[in-house]
Amino acid sequence: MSPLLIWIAIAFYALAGFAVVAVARRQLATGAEDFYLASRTLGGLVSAASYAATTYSAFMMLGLAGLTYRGGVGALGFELVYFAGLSLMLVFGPRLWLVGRRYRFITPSEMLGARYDSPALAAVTALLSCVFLVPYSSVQLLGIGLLFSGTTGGAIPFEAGIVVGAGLAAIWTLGAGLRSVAWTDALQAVIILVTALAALVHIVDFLGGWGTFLARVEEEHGAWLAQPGPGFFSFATFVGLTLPWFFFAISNPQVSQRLFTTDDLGAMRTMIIGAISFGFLFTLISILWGFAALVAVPDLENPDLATPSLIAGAGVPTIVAVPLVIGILAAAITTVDSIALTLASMIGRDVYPRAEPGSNDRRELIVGKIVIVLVIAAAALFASMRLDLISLLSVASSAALLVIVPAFVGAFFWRRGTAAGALTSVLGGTATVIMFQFGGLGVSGLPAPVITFVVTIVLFVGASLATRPPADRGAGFIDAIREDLSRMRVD
Amino acid sequence: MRIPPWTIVIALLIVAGHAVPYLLLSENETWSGAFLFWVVLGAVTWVTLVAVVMRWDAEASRRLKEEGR
Repeated sequence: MSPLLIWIAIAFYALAGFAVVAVARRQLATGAEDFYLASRTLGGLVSAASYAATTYSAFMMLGLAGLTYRGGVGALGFELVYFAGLSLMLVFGPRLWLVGRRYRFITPSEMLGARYDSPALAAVTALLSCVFLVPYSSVQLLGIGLLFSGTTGGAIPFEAGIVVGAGLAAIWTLGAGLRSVAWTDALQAVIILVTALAALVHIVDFLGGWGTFLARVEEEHGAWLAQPGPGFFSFATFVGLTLPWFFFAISNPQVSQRLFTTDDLGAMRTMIIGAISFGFLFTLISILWGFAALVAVPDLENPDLATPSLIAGAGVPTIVAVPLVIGILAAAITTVDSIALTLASMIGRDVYPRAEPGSNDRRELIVGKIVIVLVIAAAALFASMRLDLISLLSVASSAALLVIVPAFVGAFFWRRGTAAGALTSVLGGTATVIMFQFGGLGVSGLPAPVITFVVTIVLFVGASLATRPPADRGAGFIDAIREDLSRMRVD
Repeated sequence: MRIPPWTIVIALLIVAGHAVPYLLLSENETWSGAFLFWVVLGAVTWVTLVAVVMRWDAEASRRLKEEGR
């Protein structure tokens, strides 16, 4: 594919994004609440598109397609369990919306710190989120680099893709905070879905139409349609993938923070319906795209190159291929900018004030903007190191963030939960992740995320029961919003 | 604490999503096996979630905002 065409398409894409950012800046008010949460006034459609674009990243058309190529239909099962996990938005969305407004929380870690009366817990979860989400961001930039170099035969260097992705993410985040992120996300969500659908329709047509394509998969790669398929998706591997991703909606702050931002419950409803509709459709497209790659370009050594190889080597015309490359670039950037913005808010609000007592809103915002630059620069640096397998790195990050889940759930559903319990589970869980997920230790073939999750629950419950509960026993989170939930007819 | 019925439906879907393809469909190497099962499971999940959020009273949330709560 011509690198010149790719550069021209990137230029148009960037100009469209700059225009959106310019409009968003006109509405930017002062203060952290406006920069990070758009003053809690996001409408339903923008929220839906932004949530979808943030949560469904470049992983879909690169990592998930590669996972399908490698392991078959199990990739669909894994992604649909994650999809079912979006049901957590129905449980926690209205609760976060209510306590967010009531106590003016800006970050999920700030909320945890207040619930357990522990600023240290807020700081620890903020720092751990940084440690775990920078690699996840870097995976997005890594994907862009592989895509650009793979589809142009190296004419666009791997590093150039990383620089483009990081640069646009930084500009769109710094432009107007959540407003510019959400509005550019909305634009990009449309690009992502339309380009992916167009590319799938074309490639299926190229392979002889739907009937021929489906028949060829059954005849040539039938094992990929059963479980455990060609071998990758053993049951332990499957559970190890599904468990962390099921809790993604509450373990990952870049998406849980969005539950603070909608204007009202109607906007949140639209956000949820839009996000799950986008997710279901995009999942099917990505899986079928992976099967198409299996038929069109079999025997690749690196499954992560399935999509670039399919674009570059299977007769995909330029008019389809170039927009698809831009769509995948958009999917990566929407995730990176959202993560950078959320981490900036967490460091600015939950960590910096502990190091600098007496800080104010303005100074926290300045620190946050510096953090945006640092997070994206670190992600770019990490990406340039070219670590293996996009999909597994993404999952490892999610597995690590599982450590926040027990404290998060306990905040709304267990009065007896304490700061000591929450801190112990987060820190003990992190040590467990390091030992089992990254250190290669194992227990009777159990997947590392399962071990981590069990350990965090045990630590949270055990340490909570061994310590004195907060003075109000969570009344401000559980009793205070019960009537409001009932009025809104939320279960 | 009352457990909402829809959460039980989602829990059953997740258990089925793990068990059925491995126990009942492991020999089925066609699109009508695990692929179709998971697509139907996803569709049922979508319908369940939409049905739940459609019951929410958005007007009540706007009144709560006006009351400053």
